Amino acid sequence: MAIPKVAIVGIGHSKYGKRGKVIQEDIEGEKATYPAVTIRELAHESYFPALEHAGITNDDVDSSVVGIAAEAFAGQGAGAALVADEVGIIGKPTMRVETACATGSTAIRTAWAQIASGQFDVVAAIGVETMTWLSSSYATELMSVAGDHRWEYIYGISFPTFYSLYAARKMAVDGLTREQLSTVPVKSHYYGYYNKNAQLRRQITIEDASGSVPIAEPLRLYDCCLISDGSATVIMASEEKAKEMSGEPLWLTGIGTSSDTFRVTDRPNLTNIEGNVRAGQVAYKQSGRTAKDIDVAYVHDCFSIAEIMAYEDLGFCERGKGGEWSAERGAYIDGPGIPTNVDGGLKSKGHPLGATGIGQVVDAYKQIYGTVEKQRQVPDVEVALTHNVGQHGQFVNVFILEP
Amino acid sequence: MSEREMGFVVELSSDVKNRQRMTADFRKFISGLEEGKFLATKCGKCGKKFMPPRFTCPCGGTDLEWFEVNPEGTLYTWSIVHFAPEGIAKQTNVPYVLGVIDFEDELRLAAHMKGLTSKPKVGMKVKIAPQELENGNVAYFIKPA
Repeated sequence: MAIPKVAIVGIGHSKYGKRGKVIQEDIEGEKATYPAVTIRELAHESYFPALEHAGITNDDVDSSVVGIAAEAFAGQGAGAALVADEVGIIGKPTMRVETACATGSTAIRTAWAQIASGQFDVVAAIGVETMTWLSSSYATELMSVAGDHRWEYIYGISFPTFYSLYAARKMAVDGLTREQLSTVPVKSHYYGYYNKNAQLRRQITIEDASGSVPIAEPLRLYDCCLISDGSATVIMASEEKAKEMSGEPLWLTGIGTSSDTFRVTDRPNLTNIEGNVRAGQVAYKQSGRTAKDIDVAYVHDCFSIAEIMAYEDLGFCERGKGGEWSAERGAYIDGPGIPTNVDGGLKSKGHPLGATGIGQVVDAYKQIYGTVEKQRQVPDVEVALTHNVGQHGQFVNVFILEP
Repeated sequence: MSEREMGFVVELSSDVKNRQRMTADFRKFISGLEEGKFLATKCGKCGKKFMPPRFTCPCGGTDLEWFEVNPEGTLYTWSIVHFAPEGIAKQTNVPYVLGVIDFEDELRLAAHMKGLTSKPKVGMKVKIAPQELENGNVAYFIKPA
C-alpha cells in the first residue's frame, strides 16, 4: 500500500549548540534574561540553506509548517507567524505544530499531508527551538509539566525519571546492565565527534558514562541527551514539482505514526514502548521494507534506555536483547547490525526539541547522497529510517526515506 | 542503614501545587484516603478497572463504580531522583525515591517511597499507605511491606 509520492527537495541544518543567554535591563530597568539567539536568527540558519539547496525562491513556497515545542522556550507566542514572516514566506498559509519532542517530525508529517492531499505543491517544514537561555532545572520543569499533573508531576516525575522507570524495569526483567546502557552514549559521542553540526564533540568512555553523576537512578548524566538551541528545515514537494526541479529528491516511502497512554502506570509493560512498535509497523508496511532493508537509522535517544528500546521496538534486534545488541556494536558502521545515530544522536549532536525530527531527516538525506563527514559516512545507503518520540511514546513518528 | 544515612528521606511538601482542579470525583478518591482506603473505579459498561481512577471510560461508559484496592503489592519499578524539576526542587529535598506499586489486576500507582533500608528492588513486597501532611492534606507513600 504505497502512499502518495512526496519528496524532500531541500535541506538546511544549523549547528546545534549552546547559544546561552544575555542578561540586560528591560524597559523598566529591571534585570531580565533573554535568549542570546532568538528563533528568528535560528530559523534563518536552516531555512535559507534549504531554499538554496532546493534551487527555488520564496515565491515557489506555497505553505509553511513550523515546529516549536514550547512557547516558554521560544519566548514568543504565535511562533509560526513570526518565523514565516522572518524568512519571508509572507501571505502564504502557516501553522505551528506541537507534539513535545516529536514536534519536528510532526511538522514533516503535516507538510506531507498538505502535499499528499493535493492542497499544495511545495511546503517548508521548519523546526526551531531556543532552550539554553533557561536554567537546566527550569528547562526540566517545562518538560516535566507534560506529565499528568494530578498523578505524576506532583511527585516530581521529571522526564529523566519517566525513562529511569523503564530502565529499572528492563534491568530487572531483561537483564539489561549498566555497562550495556553506557555503550549507547559512547557510540553517540564517537560519531558526534566527527559531525560539524554537533553540540558536544567529545569522545567518552564506558567508565565516563557509568561513573557520571546520577540524575534519576538508574540513569546518570551521560544517559541523558543535551538541552540545545538549533533549527532544521526541509523543503518538500509533490512528485510533479520534484521532478521539475534539478536537484536530487529523497522520497518519503513510509510515514508511520502512533501514540501511547498518557500515564506511565497505564502501560501494560515498561520494558518496551508499544507506540514505537505500532508506528514502525505502519512505516514498514507502507514502504514494503523491513528492518533488514534499513542501511542507516536515526532513533530518538533522549536517554540511553530509549535508544535500547527503539532497537527492539523497530525490529533491529530481538525483544529483550537491545542491551546485548548495543554492546556487540550492532549500531556501529563497521558493526554487525544497522548503523544508528551516526550523526551523534540527541546525546552528542543535541536536541533542540522542535528541530530534532527534521534534523534527523536532513542527516539521512546527506547519508543517502554521500555528503556527510567521511568518518561517519555509511557506504551505499539506499534506505534510511528516522524515529522521533514525544514524551515517552505519547507521540511517535517513524519515516522511511529512499532516493 | 537508615533512610537518613542513605540520603533519601522524603519530606513531601504540602505546598506543591496540583494544577488540576479538585473535582467532585477526585475528592471522592481523597476522601477514601482520609479513611485509609485506596479507591479505584470500574466501568459499569465494559468492566475495565482503573487506578488511578478514571471517572469516564474510554469505551464511552460514564457509569463507573468505586471499589477498594488491596494496598499491598509488589514494586513494579523505581527511580532515585537526584535532580528535580524546578517547581518540585523548591519544595522537596533530593534525592527522593519514586516507586510504582503493582496491585492485583495489573493496577498500578506511582508515589514517593519511604522506610527503605536499602536501595529499592523490582519485585520487593510493598504496601501503600495514606499519610496526613503538616497542612492537613493527605498524601500517600509506598513502603516496604
